[in-house]
Amino acid sequence: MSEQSIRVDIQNIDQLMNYMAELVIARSQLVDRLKHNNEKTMNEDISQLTRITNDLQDIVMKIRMVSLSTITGKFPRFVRDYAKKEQKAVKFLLKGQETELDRTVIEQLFDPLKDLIQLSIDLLETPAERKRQEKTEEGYVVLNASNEGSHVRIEISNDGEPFSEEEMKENDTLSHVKENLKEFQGQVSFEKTATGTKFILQIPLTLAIIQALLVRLSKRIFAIPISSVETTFKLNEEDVQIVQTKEVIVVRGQIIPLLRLKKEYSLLSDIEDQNDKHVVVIKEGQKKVALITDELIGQEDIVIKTLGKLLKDIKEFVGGAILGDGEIALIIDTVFLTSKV
Amino acid sequence: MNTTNTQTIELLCFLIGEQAFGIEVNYVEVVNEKTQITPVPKSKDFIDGLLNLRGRIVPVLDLSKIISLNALQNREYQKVLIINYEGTEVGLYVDDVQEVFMATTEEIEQPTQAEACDNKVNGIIQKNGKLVLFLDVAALIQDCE
Repeated sequence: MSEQSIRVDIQNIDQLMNYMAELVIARSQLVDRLKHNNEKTMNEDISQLTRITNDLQDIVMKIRMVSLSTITGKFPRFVRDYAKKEQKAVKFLLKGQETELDRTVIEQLFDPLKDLIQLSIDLLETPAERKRQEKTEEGYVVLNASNEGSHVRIEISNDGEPFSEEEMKENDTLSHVKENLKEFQGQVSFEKTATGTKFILQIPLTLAIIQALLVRLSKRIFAIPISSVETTFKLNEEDVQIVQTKEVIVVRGQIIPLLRLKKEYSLLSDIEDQNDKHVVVIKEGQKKVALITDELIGQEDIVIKTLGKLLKDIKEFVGGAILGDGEIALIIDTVFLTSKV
Repeated sequence: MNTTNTQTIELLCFLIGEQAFGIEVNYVEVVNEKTQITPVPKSKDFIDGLLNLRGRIVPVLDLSKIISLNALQNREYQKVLIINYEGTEVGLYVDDVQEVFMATTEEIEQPTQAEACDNKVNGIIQKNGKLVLFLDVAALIQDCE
């Protein structure tokens, strides 16, 4: 039995998204106001409003979700043509193509996936060489997608020649893909397998609403995507050490570079800041950074908004979010921060 | 010789200090009291910060830092003029917003190089004995990007 589906004008979906964003903001505002006004009867109203917005959020997200097969359908032909041109014999397999992602994310995923498939074919030896190495003449390239919490994991593996770590780090295609994925908070890594190479992409399911940890730096509030937060704890200045002129902190036996965010952002201190500092350890791939903040405020659903054309060159932030009290929190680009230290 | 059609332009006059500026009214969206502005670390000097405009995030520019009006810098502004150029919303700090007036293209004089303020000023208009700098909104927004 086939599933029923409808065609929806993308503009309508975008509009629905906007309304939903406003509703989420309205809820935050209401919650914020009521916090200062202990009215018990209003709790019911809040829980109802919360339920509605959650439902609305889910439904809209579902409408926006499309399966990966919408873009991977073109790959078998591409593989055939490219393999022929490069005189390689390739067996190409697609797995987990029903995995769904946000429409905006999926559109931007076509090029990076194509680039990695091409790179995988490049890594395969010619049939003659494979025969000499007693491998099957036909090499394989497999694209396998699966859900992993708030992310989709896409693996592209092959049984080509082994590579050196250095080669991969300097690979133009890989750095190009990395750059492409950054725009929507995706990540790419690679690992050596028993038979060849595996490229791993981690793509957030959706971009519009994320869970964030709100922190205070001086008088300003900043948001850190929860998906990148590993742990938080109170800072003990005695645990800070200097390694090669740089500050580091040892967390459960692991040495992690330290970044004093307030200094990084040139924010002035004030008297309040005499209080204890809090550390937020963020993690992107294998890289970790310990961020020092003045205060942890809490976890909240935030709607990501672009900072607009005039601030498009800013690498430090992925966007802004409007909080319950109307204040704007800048959303820290954790990929940029971890690549910096 | 002068047979070109005279066009009339509708301008909103605003002040930064004593200096009067004119901006075409069709670019003007709204004038707001200055509320909380969120500074953006590592951003350009002339971007003072971000404003929450009914749920939209809008950058606010300090015009005096763009067109090098040294005498006018580091002011405590009271108002923000929100303009919209081809979908890009931007706030400009102003001290006061005055009347809307009409000017014909003939009344607009070519600015001298000093007056042109790095090509952000299209022309000069004499109004009640005062000089009004006619802002080139397109140049202003495009150069700030």
